[in-house]
Amino acid sequence: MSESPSTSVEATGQHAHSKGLSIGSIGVLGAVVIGVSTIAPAYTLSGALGPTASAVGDHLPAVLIVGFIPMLLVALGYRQLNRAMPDAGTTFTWASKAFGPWVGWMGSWGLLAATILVLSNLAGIAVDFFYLAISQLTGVDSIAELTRNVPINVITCVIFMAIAAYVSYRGMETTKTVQYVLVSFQLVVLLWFSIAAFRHASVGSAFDATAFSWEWFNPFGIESFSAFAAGIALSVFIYWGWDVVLTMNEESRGTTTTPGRAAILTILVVVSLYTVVTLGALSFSGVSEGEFGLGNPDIQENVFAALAGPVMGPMAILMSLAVLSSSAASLQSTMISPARTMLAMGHYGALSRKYAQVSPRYQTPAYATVVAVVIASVFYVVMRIISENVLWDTITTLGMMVCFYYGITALACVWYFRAEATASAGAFFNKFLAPLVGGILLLIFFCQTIWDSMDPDYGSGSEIGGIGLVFILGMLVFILGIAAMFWQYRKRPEFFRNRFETTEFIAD
Amino acid sequence: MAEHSFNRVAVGFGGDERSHDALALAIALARSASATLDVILVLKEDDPFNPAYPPVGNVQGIIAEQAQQWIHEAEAVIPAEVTHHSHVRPARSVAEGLVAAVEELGSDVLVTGSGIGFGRIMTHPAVTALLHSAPVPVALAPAGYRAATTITDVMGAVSAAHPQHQVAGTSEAWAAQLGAELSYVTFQDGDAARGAGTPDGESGNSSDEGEAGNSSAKHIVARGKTLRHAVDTVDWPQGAILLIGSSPLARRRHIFLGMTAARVLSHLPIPMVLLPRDLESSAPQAR
Repeated sequence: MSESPSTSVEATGQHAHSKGLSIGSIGVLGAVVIGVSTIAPAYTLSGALGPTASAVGDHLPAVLIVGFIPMLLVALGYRQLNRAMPDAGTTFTWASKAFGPWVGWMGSWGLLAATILVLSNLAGIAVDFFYLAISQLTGVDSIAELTRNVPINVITCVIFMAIAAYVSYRGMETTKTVQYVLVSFQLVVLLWFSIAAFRHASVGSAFDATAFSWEWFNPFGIESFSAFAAGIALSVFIYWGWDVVLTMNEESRGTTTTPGRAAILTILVVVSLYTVVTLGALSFSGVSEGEFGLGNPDIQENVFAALAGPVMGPMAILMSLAVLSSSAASLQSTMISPARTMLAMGHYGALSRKYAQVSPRYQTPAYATVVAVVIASVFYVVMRIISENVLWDTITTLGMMVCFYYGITALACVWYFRAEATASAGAFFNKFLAPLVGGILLLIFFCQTIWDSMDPDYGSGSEIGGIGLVFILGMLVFILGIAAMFWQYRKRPEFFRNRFETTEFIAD
Repeated sequence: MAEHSFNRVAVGFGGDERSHDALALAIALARSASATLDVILVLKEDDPFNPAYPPVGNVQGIIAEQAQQWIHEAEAVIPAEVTHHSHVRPARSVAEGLVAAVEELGSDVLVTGSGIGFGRIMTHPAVTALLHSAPVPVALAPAGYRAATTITDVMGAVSAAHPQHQVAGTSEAWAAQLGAELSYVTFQDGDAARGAGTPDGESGNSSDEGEAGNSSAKHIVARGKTLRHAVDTVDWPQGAILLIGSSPLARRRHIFLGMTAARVLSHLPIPMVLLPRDLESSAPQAR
């Protein structure tokens, strides 16, 4: 050992190329479990089924199936971009690269806003089910009503978010086994709910037994394009997270069949699950505004909280536990997302350098995590105080934001690959046609929703000064975003002046 | 006794305060033993079963860049005469990455920081994992460890019942290679201490020569009401390290922190080195 002092940092060069999730050891089943757990069906359905039903009535199954199409088209583009630029921040880096820093900044802002919104919504749903589960376990009905008490609700919610932020900061992870258990539990309970609902409908003990009709599957039967757009925006949210299966699969080298199979299987599992649950809910409740009707504004922001009892009887506790565990797991994985986006933005100079701070102890974006949870908490508290239907309004705004940033990302794909798109039929479809159609559709739905949401009756019907709350929320997000962008431009113009550079990998 | 000597000191480094404690100890060990120093930084990889929702891109590249800065910070501290290499290793967990690295590099000791000592207990899950599974001796730097630039004393913790424990032999070998003073410590608390007839809280330092292997070594008997008191009675030299054996629960050639060692550890002001079970086997084992 007579070498002179030297440094050999191995694996970093190679490491840059092995980014992403190394799923060499993950088979189709594992990938499906990851996909389903990311979508968190129990939470998503509980939060979004009501608002979607209120928009499209009994055409719910149709919208859920059709709503998947733009999502799929965009995801195909996502996959190509992820292969070419696996950088952090996705929308941020991709859109900046394709359309320049200004568009990239705003696209990223849309993603950030959406994650902050979903964070507060998740925590809100978790609070409802937390008290519901305790009340079901103890048999004391009044405990379930605690969630209506604004101070208690707000405090519980903030505590939940703080715990999730801490877990995320510490870099603690749910294990494979936990994910398998959570996912199977959700599937079993949701199927149980559907079967119980069908049974009630067939023996005549349902609340508003509604005979099955093929018309439910007809998207053209929806009364107006506005309603259709609103429904699609919501169903995009419902499927949000599914694309993780596609991006994850990039890493499974040598197993070229696994990715496609896993993605298709995940879609099949999720779409059939959603269809069965919505059919069950429709058969049992109908879409009237009666006590348990899906059109009842009082139950819409959290349908399972209201329906599980009458449908499942004493076993409703299982539904509470399923939604609670699903939103708790999602809360933890959702905390990672805005923190990472801000980390990337800080790193590339689009936000203050502070956001790029990485905790040396846990290798997590410490500063960004704290900022994300503080914003989400403040947002939730303010919304809970000004609107009774906070969960409903956040879901609707969320759908809008998701449409916006997905749309931008899809078009970024088209523009970025414009030169390569004619290389082959496959490239033409994946890099040009699919993302182009998907992106344009999503942006159309986005614009339509923005326009409609000005109506004070839109969504939950919350309004301020005669203007729909959802519109105000959406505008506020964009105005804040533009203001923050110009502030950033004044403070650190380098990012906006320089051509945006990022590590790129040529698809092999 | 060549098999006890060490040529490669590995240190798990992460850029935080505790990592700098570890680095200080690793430098001291490497310099005293004229060994090569390997700075290992483990980059945590994402668990695919724990994806971010909604999906965002991978931040590994950014964190890897940050890791390079931490490595540079570490290298700036290492004196020129210590031969060193830096390694950035991706792994699912810090403990996993460190174990894989020391096995590959053939390290003779793994140094980590811990936030232990002065009544503190360790908190980092990676350290806890290492203390129950590492295949090489693990040296733990107490919080704030900076002082010594050389190791002056090697102290072996031996039990009264088995003074000829493997720790004795290993300590002797380490002391020889580090050019340090060798001594032995026996901790006695509660009934054992009273039974020995020494008043509580008073250290009974005695030189029982020849009991624990090396005839010239000092043998300290630390007695106290509790282990904590026993630890407090000893006047620990600044440049000392304490070698302690694994619990019988340990798998062969792996370490496992025993109850006594854990309690000593939480009050010890000097670095402690936990030895794998049967590193020096009385029953010969094929290596």
